[in-house]
Amino acid sequence: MTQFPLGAGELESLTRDLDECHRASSPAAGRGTWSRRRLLASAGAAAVGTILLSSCVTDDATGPRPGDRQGRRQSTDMDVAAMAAGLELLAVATYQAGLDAAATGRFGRLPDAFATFARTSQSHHRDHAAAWNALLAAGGTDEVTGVDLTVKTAVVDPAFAKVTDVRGLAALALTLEDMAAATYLNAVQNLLAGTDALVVAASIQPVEMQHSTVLRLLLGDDPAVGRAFATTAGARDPDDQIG
Amino acid sequence: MLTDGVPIQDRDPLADARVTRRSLAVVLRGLGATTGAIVAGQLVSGLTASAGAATEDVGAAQTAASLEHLAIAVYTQAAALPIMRELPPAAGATLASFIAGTINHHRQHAAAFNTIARKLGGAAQAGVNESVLAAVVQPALPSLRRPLDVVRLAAQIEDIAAQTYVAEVAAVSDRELRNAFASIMGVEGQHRAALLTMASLLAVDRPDFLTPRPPIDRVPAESGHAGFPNAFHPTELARPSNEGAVR
Repeated sequence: MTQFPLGAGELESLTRDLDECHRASSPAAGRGTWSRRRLLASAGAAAVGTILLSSCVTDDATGPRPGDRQGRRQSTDMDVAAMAAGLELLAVATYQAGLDAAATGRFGRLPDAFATFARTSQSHHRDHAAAWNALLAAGGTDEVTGVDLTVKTAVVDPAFAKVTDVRGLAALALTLEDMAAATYLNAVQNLLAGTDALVVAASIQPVEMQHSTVLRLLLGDDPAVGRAFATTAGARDPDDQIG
Repeated sequence: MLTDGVPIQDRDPLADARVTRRSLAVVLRGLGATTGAIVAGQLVSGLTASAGAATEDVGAAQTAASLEHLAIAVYTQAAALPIMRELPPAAGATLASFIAGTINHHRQHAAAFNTIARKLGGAAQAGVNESVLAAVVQPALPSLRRPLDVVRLAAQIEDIAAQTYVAEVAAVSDRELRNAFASIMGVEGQHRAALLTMASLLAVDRPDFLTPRPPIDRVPAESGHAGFPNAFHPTELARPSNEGAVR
């Protein structure tokens, strides 16, 4: 079996390190800096490796030029990474808004299972955003700190304003999880070209679908119901506004 | 459409130049033979890469089909085990419905992978994955004493399939095969998530919550996240690409 340059365990570890670095205050700055350096070095090495190895199949010995295949590939993958990071950060923010509102009693008592679901899913989305930002940083692109404003404005804000109970909150979360899963499937099938971005997307897409499944179970859906093949319906594309 | 839900994308003009790890390895093997014949090596390696990658893709598709057949066999036999009748009727019906739906999914997956294997010039794989059968399923059979054990074994089989497909997404060269892996890996992950959630309820002796509408206020906290133990889907259990190839 072909091994990925970043295994799932290492990916989790590295993104956790990056996340810690982002949140680090001065006492932890030394470790955070080291962790960030290690992450970027790893991701950077992978990116450099991909570029070097890609030259094996480049038919022009002078290498990539603006506007040629290589240039478009990198641009597309970075665009997808930025959009994905914004979508993940929107999920983080939405779960936080839900948990904050629940703490005020807006939805009545928050069931233990749903609270656990929300906190763990939020943690996953934070890790996913960090993974995409690591790729962006390795590609020399600014990291994304904002959310997907297109989805926030069109979907989340109007829906959240109408949420009155836990089921409504779970339904909104389900919308975001399904959207994320479809987005990653579309990215893998139609948008991404570089192996590193493919690896990240492929390692996240099933997790979003698992979130979705557990939400459906908590909402009372029959676990047997579902498609045999995941679909790209509802997928977002890199044209979304991030901010 | 290849089969229900598997989109066949238009050919990607970039696909031929895509560097997967597998095709890359073949290219590098070709180039590594001698440093004194780089140009000739590149020409030869390009041809070798195409043929080698296609062969390995056939094996990957057949291996996937063998995992699907194994899953069907495990579910089919599990559903018939006498210990499954120990579940309360409502929980038994829920699990039986889940098993029936999941078997249907796996049948469609096997058909999809075999269709691609044939398109790539290979034969359809009609058998189960003998390696996983011998290494995972058969050793587990004597210890299946409760429905919980059966559910956990099924989750393990789903996990092996999902991890294999996640790994193959970035490894295969054929676009249609990659898209099939991509559209199926999450579904296997969903099966596992449902099974792990069910297992979390059975583990605390709450089979009564195995119903289409569990009392959400009383479902244990652990069941809220038992279905997704990893932020990133692992690949450590991925099976070798040619393990289930038709010999």
